[in-house]
Amino acid sequence: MFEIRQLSYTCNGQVLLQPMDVKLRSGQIHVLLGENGAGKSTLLRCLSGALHTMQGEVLLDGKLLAEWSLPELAKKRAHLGQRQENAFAFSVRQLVALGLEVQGPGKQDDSQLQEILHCFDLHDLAERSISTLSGGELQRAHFARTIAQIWPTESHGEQRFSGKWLLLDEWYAGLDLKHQISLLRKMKQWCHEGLSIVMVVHDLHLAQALADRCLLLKNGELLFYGSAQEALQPDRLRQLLEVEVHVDNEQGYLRVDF
Amino acid sequence: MKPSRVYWFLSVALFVASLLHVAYGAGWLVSASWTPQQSLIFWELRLPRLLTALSVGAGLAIAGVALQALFRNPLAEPGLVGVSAGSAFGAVFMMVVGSWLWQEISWWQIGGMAFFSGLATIGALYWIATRNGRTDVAMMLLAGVAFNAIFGASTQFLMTVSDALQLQSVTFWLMGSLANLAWHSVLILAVISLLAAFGLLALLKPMNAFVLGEETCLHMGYDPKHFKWRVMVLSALIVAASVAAVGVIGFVGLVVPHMIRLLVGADHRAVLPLSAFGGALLLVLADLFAKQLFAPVELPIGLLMAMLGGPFFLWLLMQNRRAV
Repeated sequence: MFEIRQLSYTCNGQVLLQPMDVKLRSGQIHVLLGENGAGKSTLLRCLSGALHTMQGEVLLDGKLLAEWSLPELAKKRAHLGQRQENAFAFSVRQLVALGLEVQGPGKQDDSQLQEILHCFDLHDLAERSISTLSGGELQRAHFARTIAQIWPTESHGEQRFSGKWLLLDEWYAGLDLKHQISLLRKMKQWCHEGLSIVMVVHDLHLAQALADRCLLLKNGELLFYGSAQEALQPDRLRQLLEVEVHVDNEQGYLRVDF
Repeated sequence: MKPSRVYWFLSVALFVASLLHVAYGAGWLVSASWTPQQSLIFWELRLPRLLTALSVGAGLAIAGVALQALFRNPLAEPGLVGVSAGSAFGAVFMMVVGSWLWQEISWWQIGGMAFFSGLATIGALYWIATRNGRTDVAMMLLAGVAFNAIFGASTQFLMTVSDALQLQSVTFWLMGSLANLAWHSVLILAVISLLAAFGLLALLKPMNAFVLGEETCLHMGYDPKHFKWRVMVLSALIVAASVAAVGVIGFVGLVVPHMIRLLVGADHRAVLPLSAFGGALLLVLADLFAKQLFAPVELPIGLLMAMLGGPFFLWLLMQNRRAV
């Protein structure tokens, strides 16, 4: 469980996050919604431990993030950022293997690598250099590398992802519809297997399809935190995003006015 | 290609090149029994020179790999970005200023100054070219141009105003030479290069993570700050040891890692050790040519490497232009 206590963040005199208290429960998909610059990525980086100059406390499983050792934390949570560096021409297989190796020597074997490559439809690209991939292919490769870090190695039970956290910043960037939908289904499946996800999303349809809980952020302030159904309402979204949205709660139907 | 096959190939080639390197010269050293004179040539001239070529070549190549990881760009190289020139300036500065202060200047003082000045150059370069965990390649290369100009001119200036350096020729510091190195200098060079190389070998896992981004490195469980410091210090050590011993030799750290990556891919666990072999091979061969091509006149080896590496660098830039 992630617990955020009086978390706030100011950078160069600019308030990026205003004080907030949130508890994120395990096994659920949490969606961060808000305009550009609302503080979504910043909040995600506070959760991952990449920012440590913030005020307040972030606790993972009751322990302050700063008290986790980096290698322990790396096996507990994985973070997919918005931008990746691709100056070095690893093959897709090598890239995903780098993620698996985070779990320590001897913990990874080829079957997990194959499983991950398969999940992300990367089998045919496995030997290709990442410098030759298209944007969407590259995004899938980095997503795969990210989750490899927390991919179950020992227990293959029903709750094989139990206790693991996946933090995703616009994971769908550049992905075609087919792969968006296939990964969306996989993520729901992984959540049933115990995985907890926090993701930044702009597409309201994706948010509606995925979210168990929503965090609505505006100008660094947490406007609302609660169930997806309560969050994705026309008046809330008008206030949050300044767009008109029609929602049919009966059929779970959502339409944006252009 | 499998890294193990490249290891085999490079080891055999290195062995053959080393044999040729000690055998060739002013007079063959191939006979059933050596005269005392030949024995002296082998022990006091040829063998130290071979060891120097091996250490400098291997060292500069892995310093190239390390700096490329630090800047997350395959174009970084100690010579190109001004780190070698910075080290050379530090060494010459100590020789000139030290000669005003002390009777005698030890190898350690010169080497130490070369190290700190090289380290400061790396630090300054990192500060200029990298912001928020991202390296601006153009900034890195342009700052390198500036550093090379500043340190090159300062080194020449120091040598012009000082008469303490009559024995050391200008070309030695600006173009490099492997000739006439005493055993104790060779040993210090070899030991420092070897220790620093082992230090870098311990960083291969974080190195792979670091080139994916500074924050990614942290998320994968390696502390990027520690990594950066260690890489800066270790590569400054290697560059300083080699510059203090043989002067500035450029492009080894650019050409060799690039070739190795073409053969085995980007994984640093293969690239770094193989680059050590490749760098040693390149420098042994280059030195062989440098002393034999226009014998009895010897070419400065840095000149030879620049003639080889300059066009190679241009070719790399053209590749990059096409890729963008």
